[in-house]
Amino acid sequence: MRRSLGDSPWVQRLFRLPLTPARARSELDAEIRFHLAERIDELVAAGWRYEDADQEIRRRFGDLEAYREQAHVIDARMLRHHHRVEVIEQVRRETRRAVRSLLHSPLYLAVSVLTLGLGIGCVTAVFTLLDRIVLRPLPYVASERLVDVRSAVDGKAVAGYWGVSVGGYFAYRHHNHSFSELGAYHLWQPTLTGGDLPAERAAATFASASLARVLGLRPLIGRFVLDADQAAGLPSIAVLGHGLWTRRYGGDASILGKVITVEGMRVTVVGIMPAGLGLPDQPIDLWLPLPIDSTAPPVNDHGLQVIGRLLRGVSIESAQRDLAATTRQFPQLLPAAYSTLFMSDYHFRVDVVRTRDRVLGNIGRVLWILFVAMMIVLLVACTNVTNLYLVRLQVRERDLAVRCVLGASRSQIAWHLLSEWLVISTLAAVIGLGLAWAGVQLLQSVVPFSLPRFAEVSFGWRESAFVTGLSISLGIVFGALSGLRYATLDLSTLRESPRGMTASRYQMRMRSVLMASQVALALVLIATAGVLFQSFRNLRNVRPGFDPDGLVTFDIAPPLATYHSYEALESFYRRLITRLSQLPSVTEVGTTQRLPLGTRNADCQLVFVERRPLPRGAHAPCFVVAQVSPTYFGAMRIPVQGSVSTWTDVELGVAGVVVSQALARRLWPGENAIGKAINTTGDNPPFYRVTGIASDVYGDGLEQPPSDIVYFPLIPRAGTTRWSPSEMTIVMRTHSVSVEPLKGTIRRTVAELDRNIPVANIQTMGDVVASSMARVTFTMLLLMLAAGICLFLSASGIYGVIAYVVGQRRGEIGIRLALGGHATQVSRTVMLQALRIATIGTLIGLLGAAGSARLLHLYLLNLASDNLPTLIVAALVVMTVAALASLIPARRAARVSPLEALRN
Amino acid sequence: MEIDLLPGTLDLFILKMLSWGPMHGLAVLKSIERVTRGQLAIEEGALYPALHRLEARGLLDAVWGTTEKNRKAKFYRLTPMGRRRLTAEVSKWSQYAKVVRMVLTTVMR
Repeated sequence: MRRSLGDSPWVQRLFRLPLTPARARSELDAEIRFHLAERIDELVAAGWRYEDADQEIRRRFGDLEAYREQAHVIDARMLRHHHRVEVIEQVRRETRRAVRSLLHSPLYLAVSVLTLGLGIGCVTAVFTLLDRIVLRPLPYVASERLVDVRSAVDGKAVAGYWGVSVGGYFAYRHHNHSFSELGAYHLWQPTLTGGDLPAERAAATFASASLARVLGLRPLIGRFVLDADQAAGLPSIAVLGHGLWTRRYGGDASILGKVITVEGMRVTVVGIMPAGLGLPDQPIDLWLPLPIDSTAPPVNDHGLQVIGRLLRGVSIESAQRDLAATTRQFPQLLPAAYSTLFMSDYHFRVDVVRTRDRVLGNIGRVLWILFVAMMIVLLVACTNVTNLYLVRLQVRERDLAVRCVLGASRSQIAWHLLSEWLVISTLAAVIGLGLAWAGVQLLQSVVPFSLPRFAEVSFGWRESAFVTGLSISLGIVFGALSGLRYATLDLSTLRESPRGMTASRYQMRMRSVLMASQVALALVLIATAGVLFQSFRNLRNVRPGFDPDGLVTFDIAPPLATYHSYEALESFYRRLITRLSQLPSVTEVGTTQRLPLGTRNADCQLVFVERRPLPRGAHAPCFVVAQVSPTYFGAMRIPVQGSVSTWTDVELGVAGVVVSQALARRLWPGENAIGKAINTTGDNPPFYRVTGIASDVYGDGLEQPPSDIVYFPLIPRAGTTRWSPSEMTIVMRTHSVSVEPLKGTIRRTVAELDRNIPVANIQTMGDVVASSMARVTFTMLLLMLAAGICLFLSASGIYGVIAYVVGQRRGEIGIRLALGGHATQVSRTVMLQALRIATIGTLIGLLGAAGSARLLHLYLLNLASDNLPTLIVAALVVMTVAALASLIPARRAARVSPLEALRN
Repeated sequence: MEIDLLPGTLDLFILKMLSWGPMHGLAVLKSIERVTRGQLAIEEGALYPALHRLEARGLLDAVWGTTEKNRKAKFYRLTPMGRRRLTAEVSKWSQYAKVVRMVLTTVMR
């Protein structure tokens, strides 16, 4: 029975075909068959009848089916396990092999990883901005249902958007079937005083109780504004924002129930909001009840910002239709505030817009454009890496073919190629992640202006997931492409010379295509950046109408509780201006209600002209107005034709007004405006005499037309009433280069006059101008960065290709030189070849660039300009770089020593 | 008298039988019968799941060969791991048997 076995069958076992479940089952059957047959033989030999023996043996064996099934299950599990182990082992082996072979060419590894990492980093940095600012919903529950409701006007008004009137707000609330709730608020910047704490300006808002239901606002402690709070006239309660609570009150919950002083009013703190909860893109320090009353007579004053929460399933269009129907009924619903004539004169409409879209403005487009630009950078980086890989593949083709002949399976080779790419792309992802992180940090610390929601930008798991996904898919795409290339590789490579002619021709064509597309892509980016740079330069060249150099500005808000009369206010500003002018290095000081290019919202006022009665029922046009001190024009260096009222005129209440040139042209075309008279209260006296015409100021943005503006004195003319601006901006002309040393002096000077007046936003006028151009600057800088990287990558790509071609053709070049060919002719041939490809790329790129420039104008800049010069310059830049990049290898070709080349 | 096997004992017996040299399943079974003088009640079929389990765990190796009667049969042998396991199991079982005997033969004082 026991048979001694030689080693041979056990050695053979190593070469057994891998078992499949089916084979395992048939082997098991054979094993059991053998067992039964042997046993039956034994019994038959002992004299049993075959049938009895068979029955007896099966009885002794037990439940044959059950045992067979048990054994089979064990086999199947083992096979699965072995298979898994084998795959893991193969992956580990091939990955190790890939890492080793990459480490053998460290230069290739480093250049590939850095190039790809740069591309990934660029894309990820912009993706971070895109994700945090555009893709993420606003930080409210079901924020996609939040919409802003506002009034759209043009016709007689400066076209634009107003808020909603109190009457309109109640009408919308009661007559709609689109909203689950509408809330209203009105921003305010009051001064907090009291206690031993310094005076402070707070970002406050009056809020309706319903706003909590719209935005899902829940206080951290205490309660929010209730409907009952709104009924009272002046606010008596307040809810603290988390920022103010921790900053000013040390995060102490005992502030609840205490009284604080807001702009001279005493209000009780009833609640504290959680951190990060404010109005959309607007941190709020202080929430006060909005004192509005549905029973009060309606007024034509559009001071409320309204946010609504759409009912589930209601589209923004149907909400717009719904409210538009109500708006058309305003003359019937609110006859005292809205006449039919007003509605038609102002083309008064309602506008429903997604809150998110209103907050973002065009920044969504900007970031998508930048994202596409960075994708192009990544694409160019990828073509460079592909180029490198083609060279490497040619060297390695023989290795792979040898491995193939030695019995490596296709899956092994495929995994080997894939794992090389995965190693590269993983390393690139690490570098990219680092670059992106650093880029975002840099943007946040360096960028001096704010994008919407910029505070929410940070680096998180979504960004990391994006990088990981991007790099893995890049690795797989590259791996698949090289696998494809490998599939076309036939073993005849082995027989031929190391560089098979077919492969070489295929690769040369591939290289030319890559080089041309690189040039084309780089051109698109450069031209786009160029167009943007052009419009940036146009903006920079706009003379704003004042001299921003050496101007320092700050905001100031004397509490109206103390300064309740015009005289008190005027004398405060006069004393302050005098004090500030006496400071060393300060020459002139003025104050204005509205700083050109500033961020404060401008209301417009109806302006009536003396002896020019309006046609029956017509409305006066609406213009921006600003109260200014007599010294304002001097301090800003805005030239004024005619004269400006003096402090004495102002104090006597006989001061006139100054109008902007644009407004003078509009109101009195072809006439001299000086000596004419206007007011804002109706075409009856008293009127303000126009004493001067100020030259135009681009106050609404450098890309906008100059402002139509009336400059009023600080004290109204005797017999008239005017509003008193709660907040003014001081402008100081200084010799000082930096604003920093002035800050303390300014605060001290103001505090000497009144320590309850806070100073805010001390900055140079240069900063104000820069932040008005922030978006264009931001877009341009990032696009130029992308274009620069792209150009650099293309240059190195072209260099690489040409250098490689020269290296390939050394022998041929050597022969030519040996046969008397001229060195310059050789380098010219090489250059021409490079330039031919670059020209094709440039032509294709020009088409793309023209398209993208058009899109840019259409969607971003809204200003027409001639793109052709920019396109030509961009094309020249690209061609020059291509020529320079091919120059070095071309000259090297000319220096080939015929002897050496032929010897090799 | 026939004795039922304690769980795990069959595996141990298989390892022990194969420690004498490679053999096919039926030979393993016959060796067990011979050694235990037929006192164990084993269904013969139970052998095969046990053999395959030991093979799956890497304690046994298997190869197809031919018997003296020129029949094809699957031969098993101990792997080095199987041999180590056998040694460990043998010492464990002797220890166990000693303890059991000690308990059962102790007289109350």
